[in-house]
Amino acid sequence: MIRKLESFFQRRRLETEMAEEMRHHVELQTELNRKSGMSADEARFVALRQFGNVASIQEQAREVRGWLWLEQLLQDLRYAIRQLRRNPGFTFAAILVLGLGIGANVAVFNFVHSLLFAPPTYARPVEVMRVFSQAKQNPADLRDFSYPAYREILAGNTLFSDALASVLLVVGVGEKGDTRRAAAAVISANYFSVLGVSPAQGRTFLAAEAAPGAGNPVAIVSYVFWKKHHFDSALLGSTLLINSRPFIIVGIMPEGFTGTTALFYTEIWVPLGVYDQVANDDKADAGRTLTDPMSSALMILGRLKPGLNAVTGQPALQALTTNLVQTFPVQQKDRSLTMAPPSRFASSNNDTAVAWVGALLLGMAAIVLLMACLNLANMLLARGTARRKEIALRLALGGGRGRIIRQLLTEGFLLAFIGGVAGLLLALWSSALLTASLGRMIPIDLVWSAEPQPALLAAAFGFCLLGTVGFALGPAIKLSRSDVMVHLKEHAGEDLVRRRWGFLPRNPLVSAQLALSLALLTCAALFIRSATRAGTGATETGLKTGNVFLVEIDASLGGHDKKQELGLYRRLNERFAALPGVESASVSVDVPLSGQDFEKQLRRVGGGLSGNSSASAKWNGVGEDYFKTVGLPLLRGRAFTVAEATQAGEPPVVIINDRLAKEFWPDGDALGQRLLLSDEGAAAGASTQVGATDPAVSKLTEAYEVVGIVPATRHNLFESTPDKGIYLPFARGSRSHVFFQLKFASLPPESEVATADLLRRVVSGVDAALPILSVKTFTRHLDGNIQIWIVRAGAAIFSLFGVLALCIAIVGAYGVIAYSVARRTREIGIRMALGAPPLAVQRMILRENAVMLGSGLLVGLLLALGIGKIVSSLLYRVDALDPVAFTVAPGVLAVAAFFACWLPARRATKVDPIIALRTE
Amino acid sequence: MANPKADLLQGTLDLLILKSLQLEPMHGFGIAGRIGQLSKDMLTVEQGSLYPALYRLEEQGWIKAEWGVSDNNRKAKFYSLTATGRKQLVAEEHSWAKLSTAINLVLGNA
Repeated sequence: MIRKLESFFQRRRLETEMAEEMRHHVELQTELNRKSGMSADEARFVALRQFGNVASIQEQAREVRGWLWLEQLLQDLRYAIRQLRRNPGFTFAAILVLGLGIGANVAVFNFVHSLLFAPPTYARPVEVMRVFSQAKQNPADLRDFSYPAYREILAGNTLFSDALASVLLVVGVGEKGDTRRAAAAVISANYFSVLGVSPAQGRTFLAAEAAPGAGNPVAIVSYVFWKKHHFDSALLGSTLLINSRPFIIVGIMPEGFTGTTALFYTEIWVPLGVYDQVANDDKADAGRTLTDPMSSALMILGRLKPGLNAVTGQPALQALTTNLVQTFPVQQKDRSLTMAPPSRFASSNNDTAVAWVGALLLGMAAIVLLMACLNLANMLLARGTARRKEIALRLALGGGRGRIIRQLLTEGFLLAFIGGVAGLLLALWSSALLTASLGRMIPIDLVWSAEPQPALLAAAFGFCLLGTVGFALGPAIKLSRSDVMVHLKEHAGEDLVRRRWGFLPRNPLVSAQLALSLALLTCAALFIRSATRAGTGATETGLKTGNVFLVEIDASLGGHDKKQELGLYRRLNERFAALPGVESASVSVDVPLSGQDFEKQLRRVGGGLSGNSSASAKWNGVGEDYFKTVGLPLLRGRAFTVAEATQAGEPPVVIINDRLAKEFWPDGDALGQRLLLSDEGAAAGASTQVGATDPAVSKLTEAYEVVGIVPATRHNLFESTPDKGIYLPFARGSRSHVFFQLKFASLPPESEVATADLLRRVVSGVDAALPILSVKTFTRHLDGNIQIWIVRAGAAIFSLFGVLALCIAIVGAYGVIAYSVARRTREIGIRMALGAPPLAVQRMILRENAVMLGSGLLVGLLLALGIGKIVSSLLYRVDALDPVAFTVAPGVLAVAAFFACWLPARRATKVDPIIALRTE
Repeated sequence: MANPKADLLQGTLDLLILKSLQLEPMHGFGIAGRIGQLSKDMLTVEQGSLYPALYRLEEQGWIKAEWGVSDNNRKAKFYSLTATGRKQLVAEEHSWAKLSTAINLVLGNA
């Protein structure tokens, strides 16, 4: 070993010694030859011949000495750098193509990693299970638990060593008037011990604080929250306003702990003891206290006893079910307990859909990388063909084939490495951009960080390796297999091999690349079409919202009593309507594309008619001027009166949309008919039939008279047709969280900020403690819609991929075609010298390349059809076979490919035949 | 290049080199000459194998090299056996003898 090291550092001396020794050998041989009677020159020549290939022998001798690989690696690297610097254009194009390909991959990997693979931030996640109460008839109907049920599960269980209860909520945080919404969890005292996490500072909750009704205002905040307060050392013990109530911060959780979800941070934890004060009506459970056995608000996560898993724990779970059904015969009727690993999100089981989107994105990114590799392979091949002579020379001079392949691979790896670094920088930048743009839409902190993680770096490096193997190995092997004599003699690298399968594309790599580009480009076109549709979605909601301002308010976040709300909102409505320039103003519980979904079960009163008699429908509680303000025309009947909208005691009336009218009263007039409503719709699911035995239906006392019919509006971007819906007078269907709509006569964009300020002042003039959640134009509300964001982000990502694909495909096609034409300069010269008109030569070249381009485009079109089918569920009101996308994308690519063919051909025919013939 | 003479059995070159160095230090050309001479020109050593073999033996510590002056007053690298090289020579001679006896037995010439 030491000798080897020694020889490595003394390699220069050893090298000269070796050369000298061999020269000595040849001299002695020469002398010997002269003695046998040869002339001086002849003796030396014969001696050299007898000795053999000096360079090759030296190489073999070097290999014996070891450390050669390191020596050669350094040599290869030096050589590779020299090669890359000699062709700056090629190097730049290659690094750009690779950087974009790798960048797209790393960005998507970063996203998918935090979406799907990043482990939960609590200890030993495999032991943690979430418990559901599942309907026996309908496995999709999963419910959480009430507090009494939680106590019962804790008491009678042989399954879990301990179990926590938690409710995820969005709360208003901060000072009055400047309320920020944040994700919070109301938790049992053992929450942190079950998750196996201890606070970075301060303490966790005491059992007494988590007891129902304890009302002890203490809170624990996340590391992110602390960071937002600039790591204020006085944060512990300070007061925090949650829904306008003061809480004392008693603990700070460690960095990286996200609570029970993996995708976003829980920012604030409060004990179950303050549930009744903090829980607002954002939950379906509105108004129920913690101890209400009818509630199903508590998510229960248990840590399995040692030795148990999801399968071996089943008997214990069965025992729990039996126990629970005995104790709560009404709530747990026809239900049993199931358990599953906690979802990566807050809600029950949408992980598969997200996994699917992630896989799609990864697939797209992989296609881009594949194309980048194909492209580079082409470029390297084309360039390598130019280097055939050099390589043949090196083979002739005693370079080993393995050695030459290694050299080419080193070059490839160097390129991939630089491209990878470029890609990484690009990916970090684009991830940050994506996070920032998502952050504007939703009030929570995504775990998704743009900081480089080890996994990310490993992924980037992996892509580099893949890239190297992908684009360097093929050309390297092909080139080093060359026949020395042929290449040393050959003229300008013309194709000497007669092609047996002339009808096949000349270069399958280029065809493949074109095919992939076309597939991506078509997808991009589909998504861009979606985005355009979504962009004009405002008019397609069915509303006219051109000059409408939205004010979003939640009085419960300001600690207001629910009983005062109606009057408060009434006063505010009147003030808004009286503002100069306001044509009309109204209050409503919901607005289109709010992301909320309120459903009620409906039953038609009176049998004997055709059509369905029960259904579930979206509901909205609205003021008397709502339809006028949002520009929804009444098809029949009338709007609500002021009395109906403001006083709960008025006769119950309802306005329905035409979809519902058609379904309930297909051949009669809906006006004057009556409906029964039930609230349980959302919780029980649409499959539940409204029956007399259901305790909830006992509330169906009053029948609502239909007084008006309006057109159906689109509530959700992905609805293929607008859903059934009803409108209740605000007094009968109200929530604390409301929207005010103000229709202005005109709303110039420059007055937007001033108008928003004015509206804020109006609100605080009515009640200074009223938390304003947002003030924005309806247009901005649509811009901020998460579904529109998804469609637009999808469009942006796919457009980027599409443009990438187009650039890569064109660069690749152009490079290869231009090169193959350039190689035929001599042949073209001969043809021209013999009198072929330039146009005929151009046509010939075009015809010859048409096969390659045509087959690529054809395969690409088929691929695009397939991918279009797959992504069709993500498309917004665009057919998977959208004619525009399917003509524009192939058209653009075909035109680009045509020019990639035609320009080099034209250049070739412009060359003077004499010069062409003299090439080389 | 056609070679009418016997090819060297693989692995025997090391043995031949060690043997030719048994009496005195020699340079590369000399070793090749000595092997030819001892085998009555039935064996020729290709230079392509000789020098790599010399470096390999040196690497293994069986021979060592020193610069000296050759018969015709030129600087040359002389190889000589080391102590372990001598031991190795004995061992290889022994195993060669066994091998050749065995092969002769198989061929029925013993």
